[in-house]
Amino acid sequence: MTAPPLLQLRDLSVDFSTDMGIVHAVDRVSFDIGTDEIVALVGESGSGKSVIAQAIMGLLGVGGAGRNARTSGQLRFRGRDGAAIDLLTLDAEERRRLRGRDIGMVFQEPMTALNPVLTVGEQIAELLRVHAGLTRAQAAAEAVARLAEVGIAAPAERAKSYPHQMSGGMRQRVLIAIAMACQPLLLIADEPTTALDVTVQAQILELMRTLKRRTRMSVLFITHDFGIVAELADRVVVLYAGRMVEEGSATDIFASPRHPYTEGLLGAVPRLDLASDTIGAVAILPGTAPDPLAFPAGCRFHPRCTHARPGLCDGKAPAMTALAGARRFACHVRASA
Amino acid sequence: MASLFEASAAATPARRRRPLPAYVIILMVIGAVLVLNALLAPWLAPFDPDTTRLLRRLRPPSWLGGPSESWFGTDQLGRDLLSRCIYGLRTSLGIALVGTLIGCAVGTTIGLISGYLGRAVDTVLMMLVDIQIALPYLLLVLVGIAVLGTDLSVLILLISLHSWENYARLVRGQVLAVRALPYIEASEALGASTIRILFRHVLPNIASPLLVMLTLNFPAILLLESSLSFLGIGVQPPTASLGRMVGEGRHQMLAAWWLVVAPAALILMVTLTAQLLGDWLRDRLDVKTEK
Amino acid sequence: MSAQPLIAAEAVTKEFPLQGSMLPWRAHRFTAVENVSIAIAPGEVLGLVGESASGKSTLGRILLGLIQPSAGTVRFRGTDLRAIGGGERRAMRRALQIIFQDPYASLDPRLTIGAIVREGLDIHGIGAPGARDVKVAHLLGRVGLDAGFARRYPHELSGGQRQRVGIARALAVEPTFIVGDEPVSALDVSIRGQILALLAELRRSMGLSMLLISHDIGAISQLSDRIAVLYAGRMIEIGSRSQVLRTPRHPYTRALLAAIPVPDPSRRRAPPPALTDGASASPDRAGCVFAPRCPHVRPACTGSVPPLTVLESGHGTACLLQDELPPAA
Repeated sequence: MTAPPLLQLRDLSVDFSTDMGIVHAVDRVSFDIGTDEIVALVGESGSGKSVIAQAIMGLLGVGGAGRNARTSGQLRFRGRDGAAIDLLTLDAEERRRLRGRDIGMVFQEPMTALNPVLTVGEQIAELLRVHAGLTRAQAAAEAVARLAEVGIAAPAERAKSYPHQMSGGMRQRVLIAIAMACQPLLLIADEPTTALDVTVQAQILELMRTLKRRTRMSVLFITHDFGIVAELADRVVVLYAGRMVEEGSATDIFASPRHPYTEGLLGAVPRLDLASDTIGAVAILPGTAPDPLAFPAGCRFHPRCTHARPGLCDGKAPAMTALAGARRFACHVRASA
Repeated sequence: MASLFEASAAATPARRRRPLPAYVIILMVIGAVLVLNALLAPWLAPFDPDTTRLLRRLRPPSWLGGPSESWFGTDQLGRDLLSRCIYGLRTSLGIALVGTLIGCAVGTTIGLISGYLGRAVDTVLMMLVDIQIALPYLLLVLVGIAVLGTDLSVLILLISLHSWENYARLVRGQVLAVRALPYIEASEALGASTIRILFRHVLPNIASPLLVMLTLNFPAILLLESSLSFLGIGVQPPTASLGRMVGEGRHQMLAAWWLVVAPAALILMVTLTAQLLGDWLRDRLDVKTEK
Repeated sequence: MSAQPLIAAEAVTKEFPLQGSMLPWRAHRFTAVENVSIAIAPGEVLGLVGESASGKSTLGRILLGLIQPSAGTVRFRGTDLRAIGGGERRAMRRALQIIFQDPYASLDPRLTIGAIVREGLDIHGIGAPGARDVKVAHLLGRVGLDAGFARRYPHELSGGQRQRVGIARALAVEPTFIVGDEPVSALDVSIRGQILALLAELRRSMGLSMLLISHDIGAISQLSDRIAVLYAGRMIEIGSRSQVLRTPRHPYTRALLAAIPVPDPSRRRAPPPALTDGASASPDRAGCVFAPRCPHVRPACTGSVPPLTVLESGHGTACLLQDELPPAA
């Protein structure tokens, strides 16, 4: 990690004002995404992982569901010229240009993210004409090449297909081709395999590995599945209720999780224990995710934590404890142990 | 085991109700005044609406120099215009309300049956809807009146036929959407009867769009009654109805403009109030507008 | 398995007409389930695995009598479901219940939790009307929910809590057989374990039989005595949990197992065997439906339907090449 990081999140906070009060969806989150690195952002529903992706994409505060969002902190992004810019201070036009060209995004639902009345070739070509300034003919030819790159067989014929004529896995490949069309520096993938079957998921993960090797782009992979994290990620950031609870290399996190929540999540991954025939040994994380309108005081995980100490964990929010090897975690109990 | 499931975590606060916007309160007050006027017509009207006094024909409103007891003036037969307006409101609101409700009930029933039973029943009922849409409505009314006469009940019957197919189509679509949901299947798995599923699960869950359509359909029906009466094929004299009053007054437009303006203004007020309340209700209930 | 099965499907097939033809008798048909036989013993949990549109949910609903098969019969305690009428039918309805995937859509948003759980009691007249609320409180307690939840509405509950309500609703009518249609797929990872543990506990204490349907073999394997694998409407493998997980005989089952991410970054594997992407919506049913994606495919595979051959151990596979394939990794 000698190269400076591609994206630095510094104290990123996002608040939503709703009819029922203010939701602190993301609370002072700081981490780096290095060049040529896959960072997995892990969390359950309500953890703020998708909100962080929207903040990076500049999709908050402009309309839709993110209309009532207020962001603070910094998102320092190192562009192609090497100069760092804060993504949060960009105006709408600069943001639009950055999206698609420097930062690409792949969504969870491959069905709705494509325009049903355009062929997939046209959708890729349109992007190439807008961002790369290609002519109509060049863009059409290039679109076929991009489809081949994401492993679609018979790309020339497939370019003439409409989204509904494709399987879920193929549509997700098309979305990746679209996100990759302008060779972005950063690809954000928001649970891109959740809607897919396991065999297709394995293929998509393999595709992302291949593309990353070939283009040396950085990937922010958002997921709730530690199995996928293990297959793909270099580094892992674990979120709980809008706050970072742990960060470290994938190997370290799996070998020795420090935060009790990370521990619980790892234990909850179903393992096909082929060696034993005993039934029932499912690891259980008790309780439910907290109400975003009323997060618990202190450590937000303490009501579900089996290690929580009264008077300590319900008082002050735990600060990040740094360890060797760029590992950090936020836990009162484990920090003092 | 119980300690494992801290499922009974802190209760989420019940959804707070948003306060009503000021214009909605004003509209509701206007609506209430109009309805009360219609309901209490026999006590509110200063004169009998049908009593003619030929010596006092076409008097202007009292504030334009007319007789002090007739605030809105009198019509071509010397009847008190204010009293006729109050009674006309009563007739028009009543016919429109009953017509709307009957149409809604018929359409909803057909839509429920069609959407839930599907198959051949659905095909036949939807064919009926298509026929109704293809039929020129005015022709239907003229034939109906020619055959059945100009009785008030005939008029209500014909008016209620005006938009049942809209309800039927809306309800059918909603039923199709709702019945595919797992909670309906759960009830089927529990052994619930079709009637129970329709009335306990399906109908309450499609009530919002239905209510919105009802509110928006009501002014249309009121205008329809007014138009028919204006054309002389609706409410028959001497009964006062807002549309009929406009129709009768239009010959004296230049000499006695109040004869047209008073009932026309009332029609406008009623329809506008209902329409605006309906629009607000639609936004409030977050019903997707489908056309 | 010598005892009479609790519920059994015998050679059931279900075809759905496809939209797009004006003439119903000329409409194209989509085969959701084809010639599947399956028997579940009292107290047994059978896992049913397959990708989306493999027909696993349809098969589950056929077993429950919610969908009529186009061909074949379903027997509940030896009696043909279609032959059951009147009071017996109501008893059958009580015995067969379902838990859904989507904890949001499976509860009527206009009813309180109490009314939802109570519905089965009302329909079947279980207990005196006055005593039913007590029974509801007891049922909620049974699934780990406080009795105070009876007054709440579904939107006030988290996903895991709603799934518990769905389970309580099914338990209310005292069933003997429950179909869980992706019972944990829509839940957060940390909640899945809770629900699976609850199902395991209910099965132990109440002797319930279950059919657990999932696209994720990992999610249900811990609870399943036997596992059946469905592909494009056909059963391609069935066996005990260890048979299917440890010695899978069908190439698809092997691909499925190989595709499950291993939660250990130090054991990152070689890419899984190249299955061609995307099963066609209507594969050629004259041969093996998996042939277009199979890495071991031979010309013989497309000619005839491979029969489900069952070994003495009870391990069944529908693959012509099953004895020639290399042993599973």
